[in-house]
Amino acid sequence: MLLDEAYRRKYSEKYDMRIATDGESGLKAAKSWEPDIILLDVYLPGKFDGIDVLRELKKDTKTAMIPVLVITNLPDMVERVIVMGADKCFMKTEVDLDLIEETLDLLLEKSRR
Amino acid sequence: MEVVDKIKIKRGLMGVLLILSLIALLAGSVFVWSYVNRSVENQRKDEFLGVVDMTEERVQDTLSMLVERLYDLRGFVSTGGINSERWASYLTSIEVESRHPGLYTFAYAPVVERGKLEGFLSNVKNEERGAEYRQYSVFPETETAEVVPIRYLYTRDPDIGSLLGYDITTSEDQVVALKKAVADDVPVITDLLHIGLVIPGNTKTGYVIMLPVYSKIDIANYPKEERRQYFMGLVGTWVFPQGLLSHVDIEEVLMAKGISLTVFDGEDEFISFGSNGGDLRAVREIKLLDKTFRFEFVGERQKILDKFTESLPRLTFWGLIIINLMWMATVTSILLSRREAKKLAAEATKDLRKFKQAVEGVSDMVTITDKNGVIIYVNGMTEKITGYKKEMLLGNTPRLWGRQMDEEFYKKFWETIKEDKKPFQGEVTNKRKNGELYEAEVNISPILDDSGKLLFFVSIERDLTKIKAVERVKTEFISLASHQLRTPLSAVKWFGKMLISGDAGDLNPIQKEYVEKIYESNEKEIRLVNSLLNVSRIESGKILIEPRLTDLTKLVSSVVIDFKLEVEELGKKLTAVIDKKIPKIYIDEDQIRHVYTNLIANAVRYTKKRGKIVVKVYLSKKSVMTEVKDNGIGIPKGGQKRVFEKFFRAKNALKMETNGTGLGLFLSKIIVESSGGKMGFRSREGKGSTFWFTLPIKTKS
Repeated sequence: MLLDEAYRRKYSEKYDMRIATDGESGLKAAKSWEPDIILLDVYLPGKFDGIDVLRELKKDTKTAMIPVLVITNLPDMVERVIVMGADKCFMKTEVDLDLIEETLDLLLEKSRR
Repeated sequence: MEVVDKIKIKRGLMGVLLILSLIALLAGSVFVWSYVNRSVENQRKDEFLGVVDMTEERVQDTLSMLVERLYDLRGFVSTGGINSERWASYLTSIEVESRHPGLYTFAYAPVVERGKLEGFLSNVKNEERGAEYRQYSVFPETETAEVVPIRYLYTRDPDIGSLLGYDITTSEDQVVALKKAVADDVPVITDLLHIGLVIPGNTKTGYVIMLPVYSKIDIANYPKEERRQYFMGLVGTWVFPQGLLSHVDIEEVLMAKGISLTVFDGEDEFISFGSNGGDLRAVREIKLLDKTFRFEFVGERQKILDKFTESLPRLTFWGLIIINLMWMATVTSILLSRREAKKLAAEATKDLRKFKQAVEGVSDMVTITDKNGVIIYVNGMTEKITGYKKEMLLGNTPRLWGRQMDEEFYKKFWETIKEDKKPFQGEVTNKRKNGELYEAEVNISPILDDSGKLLFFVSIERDLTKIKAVERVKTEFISLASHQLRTPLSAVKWFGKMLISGDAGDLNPIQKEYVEKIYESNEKEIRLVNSLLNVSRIESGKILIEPRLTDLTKLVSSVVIDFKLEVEELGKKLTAVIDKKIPKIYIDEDQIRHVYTNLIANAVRYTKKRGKIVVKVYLSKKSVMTEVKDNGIGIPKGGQKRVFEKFFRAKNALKMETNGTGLGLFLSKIIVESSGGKMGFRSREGKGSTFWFTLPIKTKS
């Protein structure tokens, strides 16, 4: 939530971007809107956390192919989300918005190819 | 404890039995001894009386033999027509003399009326030519109407021989006997006669047995009243006292048995031999014809029986004493050893109590089963952990709370403890009485006897529920802390970066400088938090080394390249020398990268301007050796021991720089050691340090 403002400020001009503040609404948005890429935080309020969202995304053929970039504060998750099908995972303290942007572009390019 | 009590009771009973046996043996010994003693005594008495009986028999035999001879002689005499030659030859023929040489004397004395005495004497003189008859006369001279002079005499005793012609009617004793003999026609024995009365100076004594002679040979066919008219004289025999005892035979026997004999005729002691005293006495009244003699036997008890029989009671006595003493010694030693055993048992009981109490009170559950798995002992904790009462557990099997693992597990488990007879260790899931599952660590040891046979199984089980819960809480805490601490840090980082890069509009130089300071401090804080979280992960056992086949050369090169720019900006020099022969090895790439980064960062941090840092990687024995050498400030001697401690920072390092967390070396060492390697350093203050570590060459997973 704290970072929403940062994303909006940094990326809204460059990307067509929707921001969900909990797992359920994020999942719903992903299914209805079908974005080119998803930036997913593991630690989310509500019933669904990032892991659940990722699992659901990968289950649905509609969303399974969408690249996912995960960011987290839990070092244990880095490995885990990759295994579950995420394309990249960063520790929040190890990246900044510039690096995320770079990575997003990289992944978008890759998926388009 | 019960077992020991039972032993005590048994031992008590045994002590009583032993003492009873001792008493019984003593009583038996007394009985046996008195029995042997009595039977020896009886035997002695029998032997003694046997001798007495034999003596009596011999005496009677002798007498009847003599009487028989007299009857024979009467027959011979009554046939008439005898002279001294025929007399002598007759007596020689019946072999009296050869059987009893010198002992017996036989005589014939006819009744001669006074008026016919002259004729009688002249007849003797005419008929007899023998020397003994040259001086024949009837003596002593008397005036009686009849004389009974000895006409024929058969003897070897010259004293007795001198009695030829002796008128027996001059001896009162003989007259009494004569009258009685003639009256009843029986053999009669006189009282003791002293030859001294006839032949002065002679001391010989003896008895005369006489029998009347009749002129009819078949006198026995006549009634007694008629016999008197045919009476013609007497035959008699002189018996020395010894003669009665059939001379030497009896004497020898008596001497051999140590028995002395005294014979009394009324008050007169007329024969005695053996002078031994003694406490065995026997008196026999022996009637010879109408006369009674008293025979007194005195025996010395020790001489009657043979030596062995005599010593039998003594031998028995000592034998029994020895047996008693031996049994007494045995009983004593048994009782003593019993006391010793009691003492040992008491000590064992004490030990047992101690151990039982200890086992009862431990916080682990201790179960003992027999070799079939039937429970024979449980401690207090078993009840607490499983929830079953002791009464229910005993006699049951541990399946009561087990059975939650798959069959393969139990199969392996039984194989280990029952067939291999080795202890089993492992973690299991069990089930309490209330249905709750719990995790436990079990350690089961088979207990074998000396020959290796299975006796029991001792199982020690630790309930891991609490430990696991604590672990879980710890892990959860770390996760939470990890997130909660990093969230604001990342926000500061992100927004700081945005400010710096002008995403919120351009900053003036001072603003930019301040924001950069905030950003730097935040970066340091992030490093510290990461390290701290790593430490707690390590301490809770959460650090996972996940080895993958890694090209170490590449890894080291990339770390060095990452540092290159920074190092050069600082005016320092970083070089790497890497052996090309190093194979790909199994390591956790991320963790090992962290180690290299840490060591190189330290080296850079603690060198002054124009510092030199050399990284060397080469093969050494069975491992890969890495050295990171610098010519920096070094580590003061006082701090060297604590270099790898958590949060340690050397004094000179603190002065120089404040960016370190004091966790880097601590973490590096743990990572290296978790990977199977070692880490160390050499350092001199002011000269520089060399940190080294090894990694095992593992080319297969």
